[in-house]
Order: sequence, then C-alpha cells, then structure tokens
Amino acid sequence: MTAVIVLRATRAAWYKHRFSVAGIPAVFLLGALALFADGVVQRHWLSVHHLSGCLVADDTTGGSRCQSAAWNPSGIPSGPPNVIAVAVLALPVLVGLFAGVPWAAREFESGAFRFTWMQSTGPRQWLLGTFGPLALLATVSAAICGAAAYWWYQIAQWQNGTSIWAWRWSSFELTPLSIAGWTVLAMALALLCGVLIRRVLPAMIAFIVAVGACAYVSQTWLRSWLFGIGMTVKQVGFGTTAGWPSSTTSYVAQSWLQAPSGQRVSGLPVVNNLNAWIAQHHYTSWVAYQPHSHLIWLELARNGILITVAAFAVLASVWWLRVRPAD
Amino acid sequence: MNAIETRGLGKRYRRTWAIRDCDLTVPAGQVTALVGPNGAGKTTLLRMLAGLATPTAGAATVLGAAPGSPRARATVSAIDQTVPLYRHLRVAGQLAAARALNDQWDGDLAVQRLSALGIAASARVGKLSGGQQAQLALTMALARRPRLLLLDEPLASLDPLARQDVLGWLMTCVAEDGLSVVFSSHVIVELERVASYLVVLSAGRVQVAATVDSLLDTHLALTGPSDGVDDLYRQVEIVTAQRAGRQALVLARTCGTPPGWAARRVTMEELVVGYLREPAARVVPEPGLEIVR
Repeated sequence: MTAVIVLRATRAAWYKHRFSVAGIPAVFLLGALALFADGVVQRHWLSVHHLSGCLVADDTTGGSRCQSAAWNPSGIPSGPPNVIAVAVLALPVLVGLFAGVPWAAREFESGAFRFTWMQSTGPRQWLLGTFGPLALLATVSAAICGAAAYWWYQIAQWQNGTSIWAWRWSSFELTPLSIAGWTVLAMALALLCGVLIRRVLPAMIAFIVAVGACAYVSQTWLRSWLFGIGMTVKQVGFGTTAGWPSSTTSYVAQSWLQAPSGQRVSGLPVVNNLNAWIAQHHYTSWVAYQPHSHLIWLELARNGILITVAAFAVLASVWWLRVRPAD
Repeated sequence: MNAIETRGLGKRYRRTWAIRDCDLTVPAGQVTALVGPNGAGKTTLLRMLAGLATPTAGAATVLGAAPGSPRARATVSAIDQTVPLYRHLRVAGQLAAARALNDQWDGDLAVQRLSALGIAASARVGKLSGGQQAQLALTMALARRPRLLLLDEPLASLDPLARQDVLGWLMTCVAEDGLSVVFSSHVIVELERVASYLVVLSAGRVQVAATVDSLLDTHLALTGPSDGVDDLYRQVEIVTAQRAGRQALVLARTCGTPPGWAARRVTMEELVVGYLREPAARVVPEPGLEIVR
C-alpha cells in the first residue's frame, strides 16, 4: 500500500517538477557527452600517433616515447583539465544546492505541501515519492557523468606529465562511484536542510555549510585515515628498486630500516658506502603501502561512510516531519 | 458514526496553548459552522483534524479514524485558509497532480465545475484571482469524493455571488452524497443559511457545541428596563446582558418570556456574538444543553 502511495507521489512529482526532473539528468548527460566527445578526439590523436599504450596505468611513465609525447603535447587537442575536474566534482553540490534544497524547502515556504498532504498522500510518502526519484535520478546521472569524467581525465593527467595515479585526491574523487556517493550525500543534506529550515535561502546557506564541512572532513581526515587501514607491509631492497611496489599504481605510506632486533632505525651514520654498511649490520628495508587492488575497497568504504551519513540525514528528515509536520 | 470526536485535545505552541481541553462531538451528515474570534484556535483545530498538525495533548478521530491515517486521508478533504496550490502549474497540471495523488478522483466533476466557473485548464494557477484559486481548491477537494470536508475560511476571498454559489453547491453535496462539512468563517450570516450544527471556540476552548435548531429554540433576545436585569438573573439563565441607557438587551436561555420583557427569536449571529461577549458561558453538547457559568 505504501509503495503504491509513494508511486502516486512520484507521478504527481512529475507533474509538479517536470522541468527539474528532466533538467538534472540533461545537465549531467550533456556534460558526460561533452567529455566523452573530447576524450574520443584526444584518444584518436593518440591512436594516430601510436601512443594509446601510454594510457595503460602500469605503463604511463614507461618508454621515452610516452614521456616525450606527454611533455610535448602541442598536437593533442586539450581543455583546461583542472577546471573541468573541479567542475565535475562540484556537480553534486550544485545539484543539491539548486535542485535539492529548493525542491524540499519551497514546498514548505509556499505552503504547497499542504495540498499534497491533504490528498491521499502522507508526509512520509510525499517525502519519499517526491524526493526519492529526484535523488535517484541525480545519482545515476552523476555516476554516468563521473564515468565520462574519469575516462577523460586520464588523458589530462598524462598530458600534464603526471602519471595516472589513482591515489591522487582528484582521481580518487573523480570515479563514478565517488561522484555518485557525493551526490547521494548532497541530496540527503539538501533534504535535511530543506525540511529543517523550510525557507529556501537560509536552507541553501545551511546546505553549503554542511556540504563544506563534510568535504573538509573527508579531505583532511577521512581519506588519510582510510589509506592507513589494512596496509601491506613487506621487505624490499635498499638502494635498489627490487621488491618495491609500483609507484604509479600503489600508495606508499611509509618506508623504514629495521635492525635485526626488530627495532626501527631512526638515524643513519654518514659513511661512504651506505649500502655496504647496512648489509654489514644486517639492517633490512621495509615498506608499508596500499596496493592498487585495495583502491576499490577503500573507495567503497568511503562511499559507505558517505551513504551512512546520507541515511542518517534522511532518517532525521523523516523524524522531523513526524515531530513537526506542518505547524 | 460521528464526523469528529475529540477528547482533551490540545495544541501548544511554545508556552501558548492555541487550543486546549477540547472535547467535541460533531455528528456526521451535517454542515457544522466553526466560529470564534481571531486566535480562538479554529485553524489549529482544523489542521489537527486534517492531520497537518500533531496534538500536544488528547486525541481526535475523524469518521472513526485517526487524523492523518491512510483511512482518514482517503475520506477527508481539507482546504487550508492559505489555499495551498502549486501556483507555477497550469490548472490542468494541478488537476493531473491531484488525480495522481488520489485513488478516488472524479475527473468529470472537476472539469465540469471548472468549466462552469469559466476557469480555463490552460490558465496558470498563480495568475487566477484569489476567488478562482479558492474555487479551484474547493473543486479539487470535492473531486476526491470525500465523506468529510474541512474548510478553513473558504469564502473569504469570494465575491457575494460566488459565496452563494459555493454554499449552494455544498448543500447539494450534503443532500445528495451525505457529505459532512465543517467550515470556519467570520461571516455568520452566511453560515446561518447552511449550518445545522454550531461550534463556538473562544480563547482556545469549546464554548458552544450544539445543533443550531436547539440553540435557536432555547435562546431568546429579551429587551426591557436596565434596572430589571438583576431581577432577570433570578428568573432565567442569562448568557449576556448589554445595558444602553434605560434599555437592556439580554441574551437568555429560556423558552418563555419573563414578565415586563419583550422577547423575540435570536439570530445565529446574535447568539454567537452573545456567547463570545461572555467567554465564561458555555453550552455543553446535547442532551445536557446547559449553561455553565
């Protein structure tokens, strides 16, 4: 019965907000299309110049041909990559700010929610049926746009002379999964701000503060905390590359020398042949790192946290509607 | 089954009670007038009955169901005094949204009514006059085919002709479909023509709740000498007495005329105003119908 009512509210939401409902995916998909078209042109150029292999993650720095092409990208059609990356990263916030917050708050501000609540649809069904499809639509659209952006950004990174290093914050955030996660959080916070404050402009300001706080915590604390979980520790050769994880695919957090007693060596003497001195004292070299295979799990964990926060925001909105429905 | 039952119903905003200790029984199939001065709690009471506001104390039922419950939503229509509509939509879009939100929807009734009122489906709701918006809201409320209609000052924005038309239409619905209507208004003269049950709210409390006929049959407007009012108190139950020079006008609950006084039948407006002048006077619901002072 509830599902039927929610579907009814969804159908009514289409009549009430058809421009937003059509506009959000249109904006995301146009962005995705533009990035995809630009990416195709760039990849065609690389293919013509037999440089396609340079984009394979393990081989971005491999070969002088790739390096020289990357450092001399005059022939590659290019856009401003960082601007575009930031624009894509800002999309969830913009959608939450200009679609999510007004959608929820304007109904209260204008009093129009009373119309819906006085039909056969209750506040919770109204909330789920009206806001749920919008959030879902925005999330799926954002994921598609994110996929195009991630694919497009690989060339931009390589073109800028950097490796395709998925552990960079920009790369980590540009994945379809991350953008979808941020969109879910942004929509949930938009809902909470709209339902709590019930005035469009103050709710928009509160939303910016809330999203800003979440982004700050994520970048300054959450990401580094996650990257420290479940690291692989292994012995590597000192002074050689033997055993060292690939710097282009792994995230090396720490390396150190260890004495035979198991203690970490804090300082090294100034000697002529350090390698020989280390071998003589039976010191070993160790590295703690996140292999590339962990990336997806960390990304999932981070998105799990974002979605959990989003779920709390939605529950808080539903609870607040029950406590203070219309008065 | 009663249309409305409340027991100890109360709603408090911060430290102020908008309505409290509200015990009310409104029978079904009647047009009930809900009157009272500004701030008496009429809107709060109607919003609680519509499920738009949660009571701070007590409980209420509408047609035997809790306000806001799926059963109540299916059978109760309400129009808030703010006439909530999606003003950015066209009339057709507003009707489509309403149709989507309801199981039961009489589209023909809505179209015919709006056509008769000259409200075009292509018109933007926000561009309609206040009266047309009220008519649209009323049409949609009735197109749901409710069994109880709660109206919070629905006639305020209508011209006299439209008010007559709406009241006539409501009476038709009551007569043909057994619809129960509760509506609040300050225009008591108009209520008198249609209301069969009267509820007077004052200072957040129910002051009068009885059938209009029983109230009019048991109250008289007495005119007589001012210095005879004190004696009159010993003879009949006086609701309120107004002295103007040597003459006094008294609203009394009595069926007979006391000696030395001229009596006439009261109008509903006199009755309501009389009770509002004396907030301590109450008429509890039938069969008691006694004045409590």
